[in-house]
Amino acid sequence: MSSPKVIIVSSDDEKFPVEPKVAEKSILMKNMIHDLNPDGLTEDFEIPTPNVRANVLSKVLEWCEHHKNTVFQDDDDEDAKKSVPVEEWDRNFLKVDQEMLYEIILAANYLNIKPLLDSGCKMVAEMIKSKSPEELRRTFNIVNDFSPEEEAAIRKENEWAEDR
Amino acid sequence: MSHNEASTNTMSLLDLPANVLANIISYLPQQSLINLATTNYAFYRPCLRKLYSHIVVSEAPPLRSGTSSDVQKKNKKKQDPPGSRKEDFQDSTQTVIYGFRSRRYAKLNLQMIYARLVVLLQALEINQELIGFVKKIHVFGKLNREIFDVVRRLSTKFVRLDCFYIEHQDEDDPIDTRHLDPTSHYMRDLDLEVARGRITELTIAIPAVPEGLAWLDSITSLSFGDNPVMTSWWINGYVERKLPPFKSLRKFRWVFHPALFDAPTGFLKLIPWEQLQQLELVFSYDEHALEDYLTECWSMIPESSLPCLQKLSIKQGAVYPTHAANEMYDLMMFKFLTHVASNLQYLSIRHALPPLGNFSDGVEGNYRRRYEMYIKVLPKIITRSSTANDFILSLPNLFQTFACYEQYMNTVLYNGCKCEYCNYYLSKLDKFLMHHKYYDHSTNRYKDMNASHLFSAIGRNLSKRMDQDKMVPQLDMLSYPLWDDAWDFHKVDEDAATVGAGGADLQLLKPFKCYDEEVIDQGEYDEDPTDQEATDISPNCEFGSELYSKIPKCIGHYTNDMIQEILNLHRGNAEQRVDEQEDGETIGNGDNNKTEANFDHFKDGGDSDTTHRFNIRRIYINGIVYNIGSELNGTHYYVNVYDDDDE
Repeated sequence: MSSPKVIIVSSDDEKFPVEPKVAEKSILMKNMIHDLNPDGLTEDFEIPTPNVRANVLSKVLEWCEHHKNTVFQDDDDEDAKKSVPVEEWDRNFLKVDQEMLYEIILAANYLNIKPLLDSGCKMVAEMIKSKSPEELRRTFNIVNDFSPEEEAAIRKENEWAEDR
Repeated sequence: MSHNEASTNTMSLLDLPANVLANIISYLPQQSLINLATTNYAFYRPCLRKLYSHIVVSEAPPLRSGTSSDVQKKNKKKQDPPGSRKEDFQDSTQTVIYGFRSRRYAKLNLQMIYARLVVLLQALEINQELIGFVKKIHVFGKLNREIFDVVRRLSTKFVRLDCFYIEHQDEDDPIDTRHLDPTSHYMRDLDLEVARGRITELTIAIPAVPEGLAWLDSITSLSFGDNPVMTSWWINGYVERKLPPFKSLRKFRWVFHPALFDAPTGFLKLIPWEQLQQLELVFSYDEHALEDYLTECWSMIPESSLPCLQKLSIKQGAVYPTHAANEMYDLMMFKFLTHVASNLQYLSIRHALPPLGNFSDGVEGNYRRRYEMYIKVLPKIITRSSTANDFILSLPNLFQTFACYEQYMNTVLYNGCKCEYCNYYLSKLDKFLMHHKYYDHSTNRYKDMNASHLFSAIGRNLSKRMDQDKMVPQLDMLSYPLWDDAWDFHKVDEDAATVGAGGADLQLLKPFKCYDEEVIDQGEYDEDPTDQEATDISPNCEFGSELYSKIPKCIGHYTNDMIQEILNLHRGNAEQRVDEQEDGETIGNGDNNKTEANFDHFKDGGDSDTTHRFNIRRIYINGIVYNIGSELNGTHYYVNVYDDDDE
């Protein structure tokens, strides 16, 4: 008999059987597996992910599969994290349309996969950097809910920090 | 929340939950925070919370990737695309109050800093919610009275701050920050009485343990300043009063000095080495018995009981004046590293060097030995010993150490990088040597300059990109942006770290002196000694901060070579490899060194060591910053984040 698998079920009921090692990249799933199987997995174990769609889940699991042997440090040093660039593989993996990127980020957030969440957030931050407010609204489809006066007031309030 | 219609069926940035948005925002530098805050109310508060949280006042502006180089300005359209490998988030660590990006006029620069502080003060008065967003304020540098007064007014705005640090206090009327109930506190002469409050991090720069400090045993971070006399009084006081061990300590900074040799033994036993995560060690110099001194220092650090160590900084606290002294020091340090590196993620090694370079034993062979030590042996120690996935290596003045070898610096100057850019600017440096002299303090005369003098001064100034001030340990370098420091091409100063031991302030040496005509070999010994007072910088001199801003790229081309070597990408040409191979072997056999020399010579850019994956993701060489990664096919690549525009 092959070793037991973790079967992850997407919101649209698609099933993804994976090695426990892959599923455990998600701290949420890791805890579930260990809490509900204190003696280890003896048979296949199903985990529903009611807010992750199949196409997103398959992407996230692709990431977990790729990184199944990577040892990530449990890094609470936020500043050190800022010095480390996004890995090339992740960067390539996250070259998807904006909506997909957000969905991967949301899934990583929900499933508690910190390194994937961080890579995704860095990618979004890169997209925000060096854009004017107008460019930001265009790129991210943001509607301006400030009056011109309010906008000017915000600029004035924070003028001390403007780069020039 | 007002959602726009276009985004009802597609996900948008506005739909992300608060914690995810805060995560994204944590990577944004100050201008991006302001820009995003003005796009929609949903971003206003999260962005400002970040913008106001960590504020630094600094004369030097922060270095920003993609905006720092002049080339960027010229072809503004050719900005790095988002997701470029040059990405850098270090400038998002702090919001910097600086003057102007270009600092040609020092006075205007200070006026601008003053104006910015006044605007900040007004903002806090008008919108009091902002006050609660501020967590830490650092004021670096010697600022004028006007600015000092605004800083004082600023300090009264808060009831509570995690940290309010002022590098240069007014000695007559210092700003008292104790009412802010900080978590990090810098103990200086003014505050002998400190209530415990929320303090968890303490820096000691006072000579006596005040009464009522029995709570000290519960702090998590303890740093000693560079003054050995104060330290020895303090630790003697602590030991004599039989105060308890530091049971909660995670971070420790210690300064070794020949003058306090007997004192530490009892005190260092109170340090829980086995639980330390961060350690900074500073080694002063002992000109009489260096080997015994260093051996004794290292013997006090129990290398086998540092299993939790994640960040390590090792620093020279006084000038090590020769190659021989440095090599002895480095070998002992490397030996230590092999024992403690298993969980290490960050390593910083900083040297203290003669301000004008020129090791008396700076011959090319010694340069090669040093090169092998840092470019071959050190990365190997890291990849073999550390299990970290993302290692950060910081060598804040490595170039400056190489600049001490005159012979090789001539090669760099006259036979270095042959690209068009370097051809032009290296010949400028040559011209500088022809038209300037340096002041020799031992003979009180101006003398002809060589390449080591000039490159040492350049290296010193480039390393200032990574300097905070002497109270901020190198361990914390990643918590600040790099500084876009300017140099006028003439001032010569000593490294602040090296003079700290005597408690003295930064010493300014006599600047390089301008001559209208070529001066090389014009009989320097005949020069009229009275001339020594004329230290003004000639108004006609073409060398100034403008030209200096072009030089980091040249140094970057030299350090790029080192990175290629480290990454196994340096193919060079066949003959050159044979030469260098021979060099490698002489190092192994010559003298009494234990340096390894059996390096692999396959230069395919892959891992040379199949059992140990190359794990260094970022390297700082003397202020030049590299991101390192692997292509999808496994080949290594590197990018010079700030100083190279042609990838």
